[in-house]
Amino acid sequence: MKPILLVVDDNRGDRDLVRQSLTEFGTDVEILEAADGDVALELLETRVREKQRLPNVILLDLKLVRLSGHEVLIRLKADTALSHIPVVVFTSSQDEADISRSYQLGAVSVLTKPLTFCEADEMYRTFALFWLSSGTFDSRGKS
Amino acid sequence: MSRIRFSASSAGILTCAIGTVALLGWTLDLEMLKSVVPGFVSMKFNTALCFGMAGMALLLIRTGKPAFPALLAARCCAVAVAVIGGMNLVEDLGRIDFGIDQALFQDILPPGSRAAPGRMAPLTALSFIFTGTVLLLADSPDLKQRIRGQWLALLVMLFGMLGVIGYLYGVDSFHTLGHYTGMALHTALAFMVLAGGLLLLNSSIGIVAITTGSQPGALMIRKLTPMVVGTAVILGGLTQWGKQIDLFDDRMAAALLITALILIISGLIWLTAEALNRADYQRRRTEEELRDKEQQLRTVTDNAPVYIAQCDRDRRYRFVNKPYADRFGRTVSDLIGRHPREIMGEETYAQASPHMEAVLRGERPEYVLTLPVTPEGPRVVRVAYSPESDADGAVVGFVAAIIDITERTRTTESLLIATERLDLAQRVARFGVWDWDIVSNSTVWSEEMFHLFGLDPGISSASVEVWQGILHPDDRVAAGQAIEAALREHTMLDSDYRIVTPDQQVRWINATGKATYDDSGRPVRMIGICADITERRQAEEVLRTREQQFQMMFENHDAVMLLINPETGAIIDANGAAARFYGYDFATLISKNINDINALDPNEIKTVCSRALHGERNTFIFPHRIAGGETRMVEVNASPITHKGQTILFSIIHDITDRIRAEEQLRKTLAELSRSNEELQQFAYVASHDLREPLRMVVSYTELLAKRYGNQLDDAANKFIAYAVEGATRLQRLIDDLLAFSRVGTKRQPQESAPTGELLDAAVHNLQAAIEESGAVITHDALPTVRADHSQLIQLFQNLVGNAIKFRRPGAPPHIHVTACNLGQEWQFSVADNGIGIDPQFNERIFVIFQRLHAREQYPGTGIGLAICKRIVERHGGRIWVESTPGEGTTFHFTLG
Repeated sequence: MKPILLVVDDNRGDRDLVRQSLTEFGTDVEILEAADGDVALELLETRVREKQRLPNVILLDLKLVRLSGHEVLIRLKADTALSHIPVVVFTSSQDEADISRSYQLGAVSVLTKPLTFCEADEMYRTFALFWLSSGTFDSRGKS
Repeated sequence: MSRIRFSASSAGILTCAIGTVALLGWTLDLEMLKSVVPGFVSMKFNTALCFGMAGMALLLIRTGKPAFPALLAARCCAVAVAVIGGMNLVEDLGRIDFGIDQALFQDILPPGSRAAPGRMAPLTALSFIFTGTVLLLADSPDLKQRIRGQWLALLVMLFGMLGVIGYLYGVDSFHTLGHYTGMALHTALAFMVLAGGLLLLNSSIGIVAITTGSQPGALMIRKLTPMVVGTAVILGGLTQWGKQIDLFDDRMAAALLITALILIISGLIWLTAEALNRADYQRRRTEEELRDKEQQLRTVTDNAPVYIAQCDRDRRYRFVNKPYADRFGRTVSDLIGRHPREIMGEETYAQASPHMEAVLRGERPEYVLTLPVTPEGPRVVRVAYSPESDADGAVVGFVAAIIDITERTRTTESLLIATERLDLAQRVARFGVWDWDIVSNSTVWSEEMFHLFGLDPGISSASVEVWQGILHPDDRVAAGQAIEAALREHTMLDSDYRIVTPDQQVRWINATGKATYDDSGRPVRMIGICADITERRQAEEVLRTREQQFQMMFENHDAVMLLINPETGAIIDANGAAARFYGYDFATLISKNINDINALDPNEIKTVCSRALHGERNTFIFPHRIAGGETRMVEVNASPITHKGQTILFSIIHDITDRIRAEEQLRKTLAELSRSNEELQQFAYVASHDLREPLRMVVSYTELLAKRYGNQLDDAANKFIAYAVEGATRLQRLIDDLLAFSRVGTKRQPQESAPTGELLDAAVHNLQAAIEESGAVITHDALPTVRADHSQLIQLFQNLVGNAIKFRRPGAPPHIHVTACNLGQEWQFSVADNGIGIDPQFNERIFVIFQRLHAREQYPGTGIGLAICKRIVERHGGRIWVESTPGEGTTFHFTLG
């Protein structure tokens, strides 16, 4: 069963960059995309309601239209049906306050979006290896 | 008295002499001395012995108070006389012979005599018994015994007289009894003398007393007795003689005798009566005189301001004058005969007693005594004692003259105290007293005057010339004129002048004085005082100077000053600056009330004044209206000042209108600056975030394009893509640097203790890769610890050292040396390298953000490093500058506090 990744980013380019990078790496993953926090939360609630599988991990940008990434994170962690899903924050911000706040709110990791494609490519692959490989996932799921 | 005593003694001597002569007669066997008249009965040896002893005893008793041995001798004689007399009588009466009659000498009696030889007549023996008894009784303590003795003595006198008369008239039975031996003629005479002496032993008592003294009775006895006795004896003798020559018969003789006796005795009585009357008159006159004298004495002594008392040896009062008695609250008669102890009281008497003893020894003591018990309270008296002696020089009493010196003592004490006070006052107040006799032009100065003038009173003398000599030359004329004016105008002298003391000190003297004038109004004398007023003068001078200073300070100071009555708000005084500021002339300004000037509500002003008055607050900001109607904002500093019981507000007023405007402007500018800063920060943040997103898209997808489709594109297309990536990448770096630059300003790290050596090491550590690559050598001297932000200081060193590595000369490994030197308040750091150097014309421009001096291809970088360095140094309050020689090296200097 393919792992599911939810990418929450208002930047279509960034969302696509994740898809491109993981596809090129050959990771077998179902990628869900949401352009803003409301959409993402609604998507997740719908899947809970319809008893569909929930994402294995969520990649959450901080700079979103309407709800900010931190607000989305707060709501996710407040919803008992969703709070178990690991959230990796990825952002272009290098502001320490942003990063530390993300950890405080329950993010499992904070990734800074690199400037060049090569760097981004490498980062996403590493991410996929840790969070999306089935072995890792199984072991995590069993635990 | 002495005459009588003398008679008693002479009787003793005479008796003793008769006895001694008779004894001499027996010893030499001279009949004339034994019998006086040949054929007469002789004085027997024992008789003569008894007369000698009796005369001796009389003498011994008579010499005043006999000493013990003398008295004992007198007693022994008296007893011997009585015993010899007694034994003779017993022999006669009992016809016994004790063998005492001719114990020493043999008596040859006339032929026919039946008498026992050497034995005295019975009458003589009896007389001796009486004589011895009288002698023993003469000094008996019992006066009655002495008087009995007198009667016995009178009997002895009678026996003696009988003997004498018997011899005169040839009547043997008067001195010779029967066959007994008769009394010798000179024995009879001696008995008369002896009896007289015995009677006179106690002349003041008993039967003798009436004959002694000055009473008329005594006088009559003394006058009549010898005349009656003499007349009787002579007439008897004449009658006898007439009968013998048969001039008349016995009847005729008796008649003649009686007639003569009557005539003579009557005449004697008449004469005596006349003498008595005369004596009585004399006595009365004497008494009157005495009374007058006594009255005179009383009058004198009673009115003398002295207390007089006369006392006898026992110290009892014999005389006191009225003041004396009054002093003790008694009457004169009260005191007479009393003892001073009762009158004076024990305490006073105890003080007086030793002096009384002294005066009774004949001294003349004087002393001062305080009498506590008097009607006027305690009095101080001076007592002088004089001894009183009798004719023999024996002290029989004394006279005390006592003068009350209470007032005098008090006056003397007051005078002493006043003098002491004056002396003290002069010493303490440093004033001298002078007395100028104008007529004789002589002066007297008190000691303090000399001290005042710096003169030695022991050396200098007071004179007008000395005074003139010591005057300050500038004041000499004025000082003289002041005195002349006072004398002329009859006013009080009060003048200040300077003197120059011998040790060249200038002192200020104030002289005051008053002259006295004679009847014609000419001044004769001037008395006054001089006081040293130098300190007062100096203090006055200081005060005047200070007063002027404060006056000038107030009037001429540029600060606006007002004096305000806090009650009414009236402006009491104002200075020139105030007049200029408010735009009124001075008179108008001080006629105004603070309410006219202060634009606040009058009640509010009142409250403010009250607060200033009580020191609760003294700085206020008020709107003040000035003359043109304009309102100026002023800062008022108001303090309460109390002067002569009145409190006023002293206000210093600053026009702060311009300052307030400037402050307002500054506040606005600051607010704008703050807002613009915030906006700038916001911009930098937004730029760093929001600009990165699109840029990353550009870079990422251009790279993706080159990666995926590079092999399908020609070389030119690939090159264009590379340019695009390069440009975007550089833009990204510029944004990052701009963000870093802006952070230096926003981040406020606390200033902490920063060991710069360690921080340089940290920076070098961060640059490790570049250092290894370039082979750079980095050295430093001892570096200090300063107060700074650690991370910013690391960045500073990192940028400077990094710069030095980056701009190294090709072929020359970088050598970088960091030093620091102390400039006192701050440290100057220097980072020197041996790099390419900087053209001095760019010394300023290199610190401008994004300013570059070299092509990117040659030295990569955005040109933000030195701008950040500048910003860090300036944020630490320091400066940064550069010195460089192109081609040789560069030294960056910066300072840190």
